[in-house]
Amino acid sequence: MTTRRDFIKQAAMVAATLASSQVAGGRPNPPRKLRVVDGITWDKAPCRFCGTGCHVQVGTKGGKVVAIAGDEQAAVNRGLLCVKGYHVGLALYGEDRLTKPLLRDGDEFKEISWERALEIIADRIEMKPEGFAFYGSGQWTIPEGYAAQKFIKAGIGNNQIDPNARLCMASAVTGFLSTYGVDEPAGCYDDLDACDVCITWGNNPAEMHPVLFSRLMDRRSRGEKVTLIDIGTRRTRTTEFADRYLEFVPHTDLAIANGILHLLVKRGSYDSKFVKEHCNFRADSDPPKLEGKPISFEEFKRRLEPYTPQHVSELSKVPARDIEYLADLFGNPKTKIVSLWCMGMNQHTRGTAINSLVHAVHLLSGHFGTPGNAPTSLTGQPSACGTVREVGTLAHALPGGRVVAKPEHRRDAEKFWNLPSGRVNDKPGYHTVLMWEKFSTPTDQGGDIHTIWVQVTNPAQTMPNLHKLVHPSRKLDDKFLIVSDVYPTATTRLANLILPSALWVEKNGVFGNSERRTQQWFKMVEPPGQARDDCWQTLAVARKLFDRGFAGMKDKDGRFLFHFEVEGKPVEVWNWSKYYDVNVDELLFEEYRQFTRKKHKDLAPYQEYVRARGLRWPVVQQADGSWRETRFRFAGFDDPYVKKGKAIDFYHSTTSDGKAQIWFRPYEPPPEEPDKAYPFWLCTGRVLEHWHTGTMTMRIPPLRNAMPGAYVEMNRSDAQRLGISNGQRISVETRRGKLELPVWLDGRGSPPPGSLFIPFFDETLLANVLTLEAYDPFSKQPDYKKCAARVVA
Amino acid sequence: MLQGLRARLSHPAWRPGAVGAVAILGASLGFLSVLTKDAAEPTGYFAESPPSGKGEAANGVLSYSELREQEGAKRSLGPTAFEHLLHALPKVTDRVIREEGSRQVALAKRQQRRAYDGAPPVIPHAIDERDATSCPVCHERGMVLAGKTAPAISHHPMANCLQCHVPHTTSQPNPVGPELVGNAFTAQGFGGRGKRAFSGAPPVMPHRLLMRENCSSCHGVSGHIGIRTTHPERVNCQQCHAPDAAQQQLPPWLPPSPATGAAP
Repeated sequence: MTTRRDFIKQAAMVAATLASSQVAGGRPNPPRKLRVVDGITWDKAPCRFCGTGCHVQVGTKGGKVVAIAGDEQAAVNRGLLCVKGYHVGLALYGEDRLTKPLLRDGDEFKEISWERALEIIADRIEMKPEGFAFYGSGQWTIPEGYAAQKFIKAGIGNNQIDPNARLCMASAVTGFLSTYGVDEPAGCYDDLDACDVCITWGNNPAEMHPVLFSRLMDRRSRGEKVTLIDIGTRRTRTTEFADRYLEFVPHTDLAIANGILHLLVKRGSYDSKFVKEHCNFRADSDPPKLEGKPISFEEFKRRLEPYTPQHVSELSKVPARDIEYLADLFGNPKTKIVSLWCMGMNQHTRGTAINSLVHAVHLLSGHFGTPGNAPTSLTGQPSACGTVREVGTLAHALPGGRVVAKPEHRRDAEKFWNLPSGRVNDKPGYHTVLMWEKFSTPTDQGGDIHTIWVQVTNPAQTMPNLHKLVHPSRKLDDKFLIVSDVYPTATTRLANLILPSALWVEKNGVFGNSERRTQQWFKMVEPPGQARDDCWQTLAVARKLFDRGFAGMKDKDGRFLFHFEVEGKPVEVWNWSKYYDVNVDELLFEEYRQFTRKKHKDLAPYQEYVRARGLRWPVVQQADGSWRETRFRFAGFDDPYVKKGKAIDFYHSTTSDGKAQIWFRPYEPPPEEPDKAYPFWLCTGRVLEHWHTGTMTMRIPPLRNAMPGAYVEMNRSDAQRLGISNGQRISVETRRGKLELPVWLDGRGSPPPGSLFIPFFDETLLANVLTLEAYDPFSKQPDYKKCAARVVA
Repeated sequence: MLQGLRARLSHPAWRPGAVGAVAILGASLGFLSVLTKDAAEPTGYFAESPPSGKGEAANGVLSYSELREQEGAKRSLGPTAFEHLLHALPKVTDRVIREEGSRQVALAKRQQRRAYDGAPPVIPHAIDERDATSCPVCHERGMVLAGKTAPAISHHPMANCLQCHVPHTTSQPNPVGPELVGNAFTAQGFGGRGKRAFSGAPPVMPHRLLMRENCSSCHGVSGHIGIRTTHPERVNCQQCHAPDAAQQQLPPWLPPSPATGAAP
């Protein structure tokens, strides 16, 4: 007879039935034990989509992904996912995967070999290295981005590399840098478990970061009180959960933040002890520089004087009592407040300014540095933080928070990369908008970018003002576009050369999420056809150039730039047939890791991440040899780099005194406002079901069926006034382009009178033919959230 | 109800794809064929959309969506006729006869709504696109409305239902957009049976427990008849039915691993 005790024992033995991984990274990884249930092998990976960084369990069988589950061991999502995450496995199996390298031949593409494709790229580079640019992404894995970074900064030597993250979080970076002297949030998602109040600034996490939003909102289901305040320009699903909704005139978020600062100072309800010990005051310099100039507290007060609740209300149309309500909240030291933001504050021609103002509100009121008190920016891409901000795949940056302009930073890079002194160019390359503008400008008129290699992104859908920045290049015979991707996209359709890439768990990878968490996964299934890792593509072109004698691809000892040895033997990282004999990701990661100490963004050895569901940097080794992550940066109780005895220490302060900068930044009108000819505000953005340009999610049936195409949201009163009915196709026009699409009244969102909203996921209805390419002067990030438009019924 | 389902199966309007899915139970094609080829056709209980509360407003009259945007709009519905509809559910004392045919119908229905076993089901009816909070009105305890069953939620209540569950077809008026590309994803089999230690022993649970903590959602009176328990009056399911340890990511009797020592 089987007793219950025996039964449990048997069950536990079943649980312990494990299988070795078939496609772990090969050497130097020890074989791993994986859970196998009903013939399905389960392994961990971070989700492919947004910057939340949920971990999923990926079920594979017969060389295919067959199921997905939320990972219950993951601290970020605790077993829960969103609808995109649950269906992420389907992203691999759209029936039109790119499987062969394709070369344009007139209006057609013809299949070519990988060898031929590598030759073509090498030819384009050798022809004129200074005009070759890499355009990458916050979806690059850390090793992919690191390889591309080294390829350009050490190899080609022209610093022409910039990522789509420029369009996404560059203003968050400049906000952190100008305030704390170092990038990325001090707090983490744990703040969402501890806060009393959450303020969303132009942010819709109910759709864009659903797992974080429910982590916060589900506290209500457990009987906790969580106050949500939505400061926005359009009613969204997030608004439905909000206790208070403050609808403001686009661009006047700066006035609102200044209104809060004004009242805190005027009432004396700011945290004078915190400010005295930990803060300086700062304002714009002339000419404007990121670090600005110091001002006194008296000067700060004086500059805030105009921002009375009445004046702010006139600018923003937010009632004065709501401004006072926000000041009451921040004036109460006992209330724990988290601010969240994403594209609303970043895609803003005053993006750096509004970012630093939200930090200022938290610093001035002392709502900083304790669990539940934090200004936290969210990212839209899975590794915008890990790959772009930390590896520094930007035109001006070097890995680990370094910049090409500083001689000591270039020396570090030359040391770690074993380069001759002076190899790293001190002149920054072009930022994204400029890179594409130069590509779309005839060579004899100063358009000195002749070739762009795009990896893991879709600029022909996401760049603002496409008719100006992207489309003209396609009429210039000497401009050449290379695109590595997994599916046909708006960009591959314009390409000269298309390279088929491996996607997500078809390759090894490492991502870094919004809360400084570095996450690793292994290849689980083979890519289709001849699709290959983006990282390998970069290394193979580098090797091709090396073999042809291209000087930049040699280190100072004449060896290949990506020379690696395992157990004393050189590794042919450029040889696809041997690529997975070793774990190239680990080799690149360990080299990159050397860069991470300077700005105290310390990463642990690769193998620590194999065992974890991600670790938040700085990850610091303890006396017993174990590695400890850091949840609350700059806070003495948690951050090992804070000076002993200090509660708060901004140890990368721009003023070198351990203090953060509280900025005064005035409200200034936007570059384009509605007028008589174009009377509407136009905002663009995302929806829950689709991630970015929909290249993956539009091929996932449940997501595509729930949200099949783009539409324009309009207020019902405008529709009634103009005689437009729900579902009617209308033309939306700006000074840059026009787009015909159906109206959706009271649908997913509801803009106020005089405002329109169009999602950008639909490649057949390109919202970005309408948008404005004006950008923030510091971050160079364009503003996709506001321009002037008209509707023609 | 079973007869109703059979009638539906033999009805000419019933799609061949779904009949095929019944025939090849455990294969994965049902869901995708429904969603790729027959997307425009309602697949669920609801042949027609229930009223969405968004009718065109006459001039000067506020629409429901405008009403909810009014300052101080009431969030709670208060006592409504919904309360009485709960009585429409089958009683726990109603006799349940288990047979293979009805079980396959139930599993086929489940398969139509899910990309794979364990995926959150799609919503088979129209919704208010912005209101992610009103679902529990019908789904908290489950109910029957106009002959259609609203099953009880299978997991503990969470705030944002629409985070995981999306409508099977859009509520956009006049939707446009590109053609759907086919998807070759093959799901794992649906409807594995619980193992029994011996004939007559209570079966162990053949699936994970996370998000399926409320057994009565699928196996109680609001569930499909083919997978409904014969003894819905018993409320402590785990008294007799043990979870299958192999199915759980974290077997409950094992200590949780520290963040850095976790198993894959």
